Amino acid sequence: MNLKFTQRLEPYLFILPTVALFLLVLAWPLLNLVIFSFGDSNIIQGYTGWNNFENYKFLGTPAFLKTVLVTLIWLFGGVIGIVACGMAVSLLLNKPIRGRAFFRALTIIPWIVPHAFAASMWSWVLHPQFGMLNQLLVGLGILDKPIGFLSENTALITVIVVRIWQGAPFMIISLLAALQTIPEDIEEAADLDGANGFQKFRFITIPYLKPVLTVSTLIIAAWTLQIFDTVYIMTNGGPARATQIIALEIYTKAFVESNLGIASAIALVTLITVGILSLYSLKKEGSEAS
Amino acid sequence: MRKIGLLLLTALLTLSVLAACSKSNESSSESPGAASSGNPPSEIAKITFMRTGTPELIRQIFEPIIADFEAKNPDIKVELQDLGWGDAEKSLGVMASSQTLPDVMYHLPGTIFDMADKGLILDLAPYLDDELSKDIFPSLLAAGQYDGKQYVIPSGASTLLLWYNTEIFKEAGLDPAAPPKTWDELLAAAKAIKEKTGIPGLGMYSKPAGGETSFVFESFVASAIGGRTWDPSAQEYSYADPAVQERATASLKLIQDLTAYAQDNIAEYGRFDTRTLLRDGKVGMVFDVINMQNQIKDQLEAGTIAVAQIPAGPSGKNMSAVNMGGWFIPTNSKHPDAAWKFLRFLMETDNQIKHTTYGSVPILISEAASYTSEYWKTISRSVNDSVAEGVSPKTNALWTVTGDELQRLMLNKQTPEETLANINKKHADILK
Amino acid sequence: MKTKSRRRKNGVLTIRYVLIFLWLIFTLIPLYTAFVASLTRYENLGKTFLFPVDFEWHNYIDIFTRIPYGSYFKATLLYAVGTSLVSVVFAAFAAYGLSRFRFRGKMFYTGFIFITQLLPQVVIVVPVFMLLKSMGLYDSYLGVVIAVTATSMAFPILLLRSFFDGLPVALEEAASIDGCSRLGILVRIVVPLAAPGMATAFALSFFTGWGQYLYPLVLTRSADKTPLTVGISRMIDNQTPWEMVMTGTLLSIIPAVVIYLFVQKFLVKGLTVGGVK
Repeated sequence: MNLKFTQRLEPYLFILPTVALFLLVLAWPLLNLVIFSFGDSNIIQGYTGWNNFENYKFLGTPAFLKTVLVTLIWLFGGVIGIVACGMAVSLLLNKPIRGRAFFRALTIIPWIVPHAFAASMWSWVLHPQFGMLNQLLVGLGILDKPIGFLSENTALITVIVVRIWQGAPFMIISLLAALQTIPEDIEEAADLDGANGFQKFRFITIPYLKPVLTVSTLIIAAWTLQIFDTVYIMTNGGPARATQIIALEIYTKAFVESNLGIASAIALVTLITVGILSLYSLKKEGSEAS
Repeated sequence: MRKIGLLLLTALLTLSVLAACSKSNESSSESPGAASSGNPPSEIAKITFMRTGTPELIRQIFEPIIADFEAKNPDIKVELQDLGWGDAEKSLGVMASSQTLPDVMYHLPGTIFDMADKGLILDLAPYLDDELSKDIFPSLLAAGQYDGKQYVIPSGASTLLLWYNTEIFKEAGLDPAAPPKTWDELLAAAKAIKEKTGIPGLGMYSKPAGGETSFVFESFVASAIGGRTWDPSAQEYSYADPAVQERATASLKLIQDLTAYAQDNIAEYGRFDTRTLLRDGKVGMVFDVINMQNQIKDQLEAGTIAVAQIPAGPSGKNMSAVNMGGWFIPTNSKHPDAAWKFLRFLMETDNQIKHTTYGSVPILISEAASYTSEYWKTISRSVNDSVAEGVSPKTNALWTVTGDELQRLMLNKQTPEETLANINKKHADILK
Repeated sequence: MKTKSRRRKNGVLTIRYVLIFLWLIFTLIPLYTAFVASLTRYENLGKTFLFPVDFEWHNYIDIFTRIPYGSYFKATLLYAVGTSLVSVVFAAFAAYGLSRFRFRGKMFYTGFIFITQLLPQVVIVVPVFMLLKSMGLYDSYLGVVIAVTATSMAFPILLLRSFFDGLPVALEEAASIDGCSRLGILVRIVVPLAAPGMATAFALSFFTGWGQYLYPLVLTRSADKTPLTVGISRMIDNQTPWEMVMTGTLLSIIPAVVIYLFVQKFLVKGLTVGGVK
């Protein structure tokens, strides 16, 4: 075989298995998403008829715009929290201290707990009546009335905290792996030169972490946009839609209100928006790397 | 180059071998059902059966019934499959779209009517015999009808009931044998409990999940107008009807007034949470469905908690709405006759009594007659005096907006008049 | 006598431990309530979660008879192992292609990988169901593994690519001169050097497969294909035996944690840069 031809073909062969899998499983659903969004659709029958962009008109309603706002707060709060905590904890667990392996193993637990059960557990922690935290704080006399963690003004913050609890393990694991790639001799050299912790962090750790950090952050952002199970069970989008995030809206419209058309329209617009934004930042990272 | 090609080929081969393996696993795991005993019956109809709920308890109830049925009908085999409520919400649509719904299944009318609109549900009126149709409480039977057809045979239902703590009543100077019978008495009782014992008079929930609060509202309106709140032919609630509006607003005002005597943080309570409140003596009364009884078994036995029909509104009738779930047969069933035979068997008085233990009010008049305690008599009366709640293919969406508006009302963010106006407007949007 | 810097180091160490402890408390608080619930009798659920009301330790034994725990566990394990094996192998290939080559459509491919993470599961589950049904893979382990892998491979690919990017090409060039094929280089040189990355990708895919709920729920029917997530949540209804739900959940966490302890052995600095010198 012609060597040059072989060389040009090689990369495509390497990505072939994944491309095949993606196309096989996801091309049809993606196409369906577009089709469903342009008419009346439901889960049982799929697309049933043109409805003159009514699904897209829903995206302009005040109720939906509020959902967008809530989602943005949820997204930024969640991602920033996850990155900050993930970074902090992975740095803490990076030094060879006693019990490190055990601590690391414990930190992944939030990730293993299925979302639905995590929701129940957290309600048992936060409930005003029988919740652990309130009983503790009231019992110790620190509070005289229980705090409503999921009341209208606090619910969003609370679910964001739960999201951080769920998402941090992923960031911790990724960053721990990335931290392993920092060559020891560079660190030693820096120590010899008298660099303090902060300088080492800024000039050595961050550059090495950057690629993995960027990718992990983008993926965590994508996942934060997608998951809804926990919020669904803890607040069902309430009180008074204070925690109605886009992912929950999509689920409710599709499965509870039997309106797959609107659900698809929302999903498609979200996908395109986020896709464009992140392609931009991936491109930046890619051009920096090369 | 060749190596990569070989590797891919191996991978593909491995995948296809795995696929073949799992397929052959399926066919071999289809266990041989009935052992051949002498002459095998000419043709065995195999039907699948699902009753949504906690599998452990469901199996306890239905496996003996199935065994009994199969003994009496050797040409039919019934396979009970597990389905949780969370699962049902997600997988029902998939089953419907792929025509793989089980032959006999329990579910809620809203979803069933939606599927009926799409031609997926069998009309059971031709199968329904007089004996059964006369035995089912009329409001329940009506609840299973849509578009002039009987799509659902009710087998699980509940009215709204008033559960109250007799000890707290005594402490507040109220007579535990005379629970509030009118709205005024209700407010007075809640007030008395709060003032004399310091305990909230009423446990209230506002989480807008699954139509829980919408049901309370609908029941109050029913007792206010003394009739159905839903017009089946127009397929809409009567809340927008001028004749009803005033009483509907009064119902909303009642709900809002009651919040003054309720526990704190109503926003965080769902129906399940208030059950523990009543059980632990933290509130005096709760409006809830029959499932409350599972949480308070000990207290019911000891007599510290009792049940009553809901108080009467301006109409003077202690009338509640009744919400129902029941059996249906899909059009994709390959053995509709066998399926109906099994369904009919499930509706025999003894079998329905067993099913009712899962958490329902009496469904059959004959069944209600067999219960002799004051407790069950009260509950049977509530069913007798009830009206079917409004159900349509759009029910879930309607419940969602009603629940949202009611939550705002209970958080004192809007007046009863505004709430009603919003509800009517949003319903109109959904139903157009 | 401790020198000043020694004391300072101990101070820093203490702070480190304290912070780790605080984080662990935050991590484990909900599990404490699950633990309390798991020991409670059904009638007493919801009274308090501050301290155990009962001590029904036998719940941990009863769980095995009340639900088919062993069967659920087997299915969960199969999904986890299947997902991680397929993910890691496919992802390693793709990551190598992305890292070491320049080719037309590279940007598009990278973008597409990311897009796959933005498709809401709930919307794609029905078309995927139809697809598997038409391929005859409904109600099979393979079907679920395919669906899960397709939707979760994005991160392993991008993660491994970052790791491969960080490895100096010099070693591979040397091997290539010695007559090693690209594939051989990948398998024999790159993968071992990127061991922390590979182990992480494996662990992440493993836990992704372990915690799957929607796909096994919708894409399978037989009892033996039901994993722990679906099996335990079936119990949720008007009379949910929460003590059983939580017992089951806590039990299923233990094997996962043990497996991660094991995987950590590979999370050490590999041969890394030493080879180049």
